Amino acid sequence: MNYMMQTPIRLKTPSFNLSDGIAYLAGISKDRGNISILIANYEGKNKGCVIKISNLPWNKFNMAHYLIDDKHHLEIIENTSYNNSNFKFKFSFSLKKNTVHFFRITNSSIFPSEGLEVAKIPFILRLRCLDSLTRLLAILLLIIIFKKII
Amino acid sequence: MKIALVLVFAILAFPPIYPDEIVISIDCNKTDGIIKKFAGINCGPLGQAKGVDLTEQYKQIGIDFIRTHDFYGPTDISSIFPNWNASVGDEKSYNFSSSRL
Repeated sequence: MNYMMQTPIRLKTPSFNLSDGIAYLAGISKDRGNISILIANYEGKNKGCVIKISNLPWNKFNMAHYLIDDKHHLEIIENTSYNNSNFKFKFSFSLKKNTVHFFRITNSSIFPSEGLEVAKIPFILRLRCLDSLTRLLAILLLIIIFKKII
Repeated sequence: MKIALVLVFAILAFPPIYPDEIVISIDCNKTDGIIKKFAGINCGPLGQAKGVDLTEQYKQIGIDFIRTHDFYGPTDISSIFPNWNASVGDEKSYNFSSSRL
């Protein structure tokens, strides 16, 4: 969202129903040098997504595609240069469930930094099946402690 | 034959939009006001356990609003209004000293 504020002038987008689990927002900077598009598929179905942009302020530009999912932490997964003489641009990507996509389209070569490094959770702590086992061990431990106190 | 050609042309000219596909059309000349900042968060950068200071990370991701209730400390309602039998209209019922850090 902080990166969206670098392009604070909101661009009109088609309306959407939040209960479908997908939301999006687009903005352009005051100097019209940067465009941002934020798309979140919070709990919708896996879908394809087509973005059509018209009246681009430039014909040569760069685009970075950032992704947040279970394997990416706001990482750039695609960075491409384009040269479109008709000031239009169309691209598509896979909008999977539980993902957030951020696009920065710019006439410069400077992009917002990627997400901070995430601490890795040890494998044993990622096993959800152990949650109930941990609770059971905690209860047993409490029983032992109380027995000793009594 | 002509009808078949027209149909083929129509199919090629107007590819179908699949229901499992969304299309977002953006015109860079059509604006819609200013994007409102919506980066509020619950709990401060020190967390409840106060083990790690995430102040810099909060600044980097643009957090500018923190909801301080359920912080188990200053500004929790139980700290500010400790006696639930007290009068809500009496300013003596409130204690804001814990928020003055």
